[in-house]
Amino acid sequence: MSAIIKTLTPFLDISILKEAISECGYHFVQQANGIEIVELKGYRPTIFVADSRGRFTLTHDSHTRNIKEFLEKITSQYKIVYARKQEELRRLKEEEKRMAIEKENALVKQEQLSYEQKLREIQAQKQRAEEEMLKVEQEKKAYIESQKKAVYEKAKEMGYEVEEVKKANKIQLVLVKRK
Amino acid sequence: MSNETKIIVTIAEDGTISAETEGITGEVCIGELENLLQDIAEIESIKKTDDYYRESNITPTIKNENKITRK
Repeated sequence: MSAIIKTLTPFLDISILKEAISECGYHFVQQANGIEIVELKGYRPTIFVADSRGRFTLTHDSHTRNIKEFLEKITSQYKIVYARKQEELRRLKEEEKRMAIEKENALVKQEQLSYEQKLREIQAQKQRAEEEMLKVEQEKKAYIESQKKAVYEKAKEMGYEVEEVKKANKIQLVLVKRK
Repeated sequence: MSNETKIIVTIAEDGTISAETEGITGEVCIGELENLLQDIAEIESIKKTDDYYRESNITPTIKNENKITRK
């Protein structure tokens, strides 16, 4: 092995990205071409723009300061927001189970109705969270497929043969070139 | 010495990519990785290992004209 390269976490979901920006203390304006960061203005505005594969990349001019620091903060917060959404869905699923059991165990009719109402509210929240996570996961899946395809094509162009190896939650591509 | 060169590309669940070379020595190994990943993802870090400091054993496949800007 002679070198190892790692790439940045791609920002794939606009709602997670917006939450991450706000939680880092920045303000944004939704523009037709993307999300403009109010505090980071150089000669040109600093904007997250979606590319053809659904990834939001930051466009800025070279005079804008603190870009590296900004990207590090957003990357870290993006992961936190994503994990929080997953955790919220897990909590709602557990809450739904618990409420269903409590409803069954309620002896008084009035109590049963109260639990039923709470249960319906939780189920609605859970459904919204599930739909949101499903959208996030589908975006991720589509992006990973497009990454794989792009690596395949570029590798072929460079004269490599490509073999795909299945790993737990990862995709491994082994590119081989015989001398 | 092996008569083949390898690049192992791992795509993680969150869409990040890590790529490493095998059987390529010298500075050209980074050029190969940059050629492969330019236009595909933004590079966060590059770690050089001992083989990087040895004499190059291959010529780059594609001349890298659009050098990647590292963040």
